[in-house]
Amino acid sequence: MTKAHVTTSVNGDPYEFLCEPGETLLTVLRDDLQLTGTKEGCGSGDCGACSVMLNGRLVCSCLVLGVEAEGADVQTVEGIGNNDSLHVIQEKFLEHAALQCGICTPGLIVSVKALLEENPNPTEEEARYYLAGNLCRCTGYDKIIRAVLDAAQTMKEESAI
Amino acid sequence: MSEAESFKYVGQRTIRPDGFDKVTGRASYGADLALPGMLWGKTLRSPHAHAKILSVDVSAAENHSDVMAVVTFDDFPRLKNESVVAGEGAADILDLARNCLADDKALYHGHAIAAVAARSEKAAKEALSLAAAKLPMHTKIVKRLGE
Repeated sequence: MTKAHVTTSVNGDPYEFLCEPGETLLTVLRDDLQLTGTKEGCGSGDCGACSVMLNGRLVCSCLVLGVEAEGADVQTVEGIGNNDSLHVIQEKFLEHAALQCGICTPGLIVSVKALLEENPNPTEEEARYYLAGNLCRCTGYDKIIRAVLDAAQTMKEESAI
Repeated sequence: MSEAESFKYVGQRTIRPDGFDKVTGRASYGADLALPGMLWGKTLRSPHAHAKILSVDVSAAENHSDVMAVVTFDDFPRLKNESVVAGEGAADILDLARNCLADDKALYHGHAIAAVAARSEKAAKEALSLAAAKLPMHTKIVKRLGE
């Protein structure tokens, strides 16, 4: 089968790749671009481990085709925080011990960032509802929610200064 | 200051040593590794909870250019019923082997029937769709109950 040539942007960096028409964005990111921060959990859109932002929209990359990234702006966990400093969300995840095995964590970090961009001041219920698509089998969610609410509070205080 | 507060770690909130790598996506898990010459494994599994395996034809899968190996129960030595020490107690080695790979009967939904190793995940998936296993569902018990 002929491979499709795709030009895209991931975390602000330009990328070009060849992919099978049926290949998912998740396999492209992980296998072709070696961005393995995005995890595969279920491969069927149930668990949210592969969450990325596609043109500002939160999607499960296992349900998006690689060819759909043509001309798009993709944001993955690798684009959040940098070598010198972590993003507030990442810091709060560490502080509140909102992770154990860490397979759901990259997807959650991306989802939480999307949540706080949409709604900088979520209630606990709103946060739980928004993150319902990200399954975590270790923490029991409470610590994640505490980290999210604390991150929202901290980001609000930081922007007020 | 109480005694607990004077400890460096006990009673303190600590940051996981692997936390930084995990929140940044840098942590390397088994599935994140890609090595030169690496093969991908896939398993053909029983779609039935209890079924008699009439035949397993893996020749088409073996002929796939990217498939390096295909195994079924026939590729392993015939074991005898023999009690061995396994973990917490004795186990029958033949039962253990049959649990890994089905012999003449699939004993549960998802029981492994054949396995392939291929150069890519895609090729391994294709090989599975080429491997044909005939296994009618075992309905003897169901029928008896309905009589």
